[in-house]
Amino acid sequence: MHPLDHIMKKRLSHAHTPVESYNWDKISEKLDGIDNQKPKHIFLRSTLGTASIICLLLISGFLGFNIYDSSQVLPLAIKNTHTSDHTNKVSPIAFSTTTGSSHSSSTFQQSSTSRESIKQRSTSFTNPVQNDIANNLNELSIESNNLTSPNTIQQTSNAINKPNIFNTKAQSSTISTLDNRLIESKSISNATRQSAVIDHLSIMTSLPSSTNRKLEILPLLTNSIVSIDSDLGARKTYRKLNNKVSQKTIGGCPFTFETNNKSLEVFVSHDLYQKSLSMGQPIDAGLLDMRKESVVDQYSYTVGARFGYNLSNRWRLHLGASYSQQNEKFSYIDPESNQERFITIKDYVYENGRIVDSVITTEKVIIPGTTVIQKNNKYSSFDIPVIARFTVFGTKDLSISATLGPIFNISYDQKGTIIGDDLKPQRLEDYNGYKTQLGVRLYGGFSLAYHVAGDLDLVFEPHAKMSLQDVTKDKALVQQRNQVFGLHTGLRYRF
Amino acid sequence: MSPLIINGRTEKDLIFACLQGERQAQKEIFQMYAPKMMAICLRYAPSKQEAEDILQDSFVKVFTHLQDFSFQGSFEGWVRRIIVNTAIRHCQKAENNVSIDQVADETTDPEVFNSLSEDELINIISSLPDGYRVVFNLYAIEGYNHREISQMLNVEESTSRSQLFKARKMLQDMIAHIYQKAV
Repeated sequence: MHPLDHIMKKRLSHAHTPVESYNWDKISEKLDGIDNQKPKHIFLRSTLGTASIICLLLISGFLGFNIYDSSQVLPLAIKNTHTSDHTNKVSPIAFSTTTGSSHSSSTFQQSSTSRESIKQRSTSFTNPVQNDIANNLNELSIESNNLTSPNTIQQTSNAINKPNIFNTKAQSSTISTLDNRLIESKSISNATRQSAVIDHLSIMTSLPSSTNRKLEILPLLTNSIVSIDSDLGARKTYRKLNNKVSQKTIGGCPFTFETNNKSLEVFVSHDLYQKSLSMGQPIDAGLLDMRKESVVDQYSYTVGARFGYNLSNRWRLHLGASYSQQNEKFSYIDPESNQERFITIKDYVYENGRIVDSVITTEKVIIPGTTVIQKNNKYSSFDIPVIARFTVFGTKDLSISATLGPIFNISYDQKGTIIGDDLKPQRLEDYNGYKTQLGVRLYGGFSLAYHVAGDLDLVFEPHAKMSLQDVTKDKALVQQRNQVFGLHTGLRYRF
Repeated sequence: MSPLIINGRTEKDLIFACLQGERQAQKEIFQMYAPKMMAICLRYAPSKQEAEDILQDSFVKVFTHLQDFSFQGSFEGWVRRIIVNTAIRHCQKAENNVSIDQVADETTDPEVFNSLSEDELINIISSLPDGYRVVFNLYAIEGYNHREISQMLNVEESTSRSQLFKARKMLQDMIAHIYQKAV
């Protein structure tokens, strides 16, 4: 070390100089100004985001509960040792009978006790809601299970004032109506059937659509199909009906059909990047400030497609591919930029009017000016998301799910200009501070799916992509980590 | 080594309080480090007023970027680094070209330095042209090498070497001049 350097370092490296108190006052003023200028948008964003999710949940929950309420089944079990009268107009009830006789007509004529019981029950509602339910009952289902033979009588009706069609004959007849369709079962030949027993009675609410009616009568049909073995035609008819019904009645999410257990979804996501910059090895607040101040976020997005497969009624697995593009506008203004120009001056030496010599000198001229650089920066990434979806609840038109899973980054590319480590603008293509592969990120969100038509669903999915590591290399002076919040909007086709 | 305690609070406590925006804690941190940092600022700045500007800007940066301090190194080192970087940016903005020919080619006995106070030495360094002053401070006192200085200042390494050489010469000249006056 040079002796001068040594002496200077020894004398000055720990030197102290008194500081005037007004310095702190000025710092305090500046800090107050910065505090007042701090954007509140992060708080607003989180508040608005939370509020919108709650609203979304409330709205969807309200719709969901409404639909469920309209199809609610109020079980009312009545055990009766007699058969009910098939001409009974108290149709808003579904009940099953167990018959023990092949002479059904006579058996039903003896069922006054049962009829009275049912009437009493159906007119005994005092609650307005229950009265309303009773007034609008439109389903009648009778299931007969022979204790000694497998013959079954079933009747279903959906008309309030329409007499239920329930003809019984000595050797054949179970006639059942379901949505105005008649199904005839021919052979009830077992002579041992002597009586009918009402096994259970259910009262169903008024249902807004035929689909919901189907939803509720399914258990009855399912029971009946097992017991009808005497007529192949009837069984086939029931099975067709059952198949149609069962397609609409699986589990928590009505979209997860047994027959449509795969889906393909195309989506676009509107993304908001939350960048956190921190200093790397040597602290350079100037560089950090310039990095932050030189870029402004612009619209960023993700597009992609994902394939879904139902693991169960509530669980679905998605595998897809997506392309994300983060856009920024880079602005750099150097008001004290100097432009260097070199001027060549040639001086001639005259002697008696003749040029005898020349001197060429070059001078550097500094022209003060302002440098303005504006570029659009583009950070693009190609990812493979593997997302698990759990359906929290659903109706026939709407479902809400939670999504979670890893995103595997394939490539990460940057184009544009940033402030380099030397505090000068530098092309991103030449800057070696960013990674080219980001590893694994975590995806989580809530998904709202709305059934628009046929096999198509509209999907809205507010989500977050949380980075577990920086997008910059370890050696970079400024470390950067991106967290992404977005609203995914997609169209899902089930097949 | 026991932690430094100021007004019943350790340095770490004060930093956490600063992170929560406590102005009193910020003031205590400032009062603790300002004298030492002011000496650094004076070495880089051509005048006391500019040194104070650097000091103020630096401490504003310290408090606004405090969340980036990772507690891995010394807090003083972190603050010092911010001071030096701010001073460099400040000097780059107010860069003045100085003719190399102004430098006299004289040598001075190092013992002469001992007769000068720290303030006088700082004043001498402050009176150096911007480019020389910054390179001399970075190389001689902060301990950076020419390659690092060239990256920090965005100049050629040869320029850094040249400016250091000329800074030394100029310092020797000025010190010799002061010493002769005193004698």
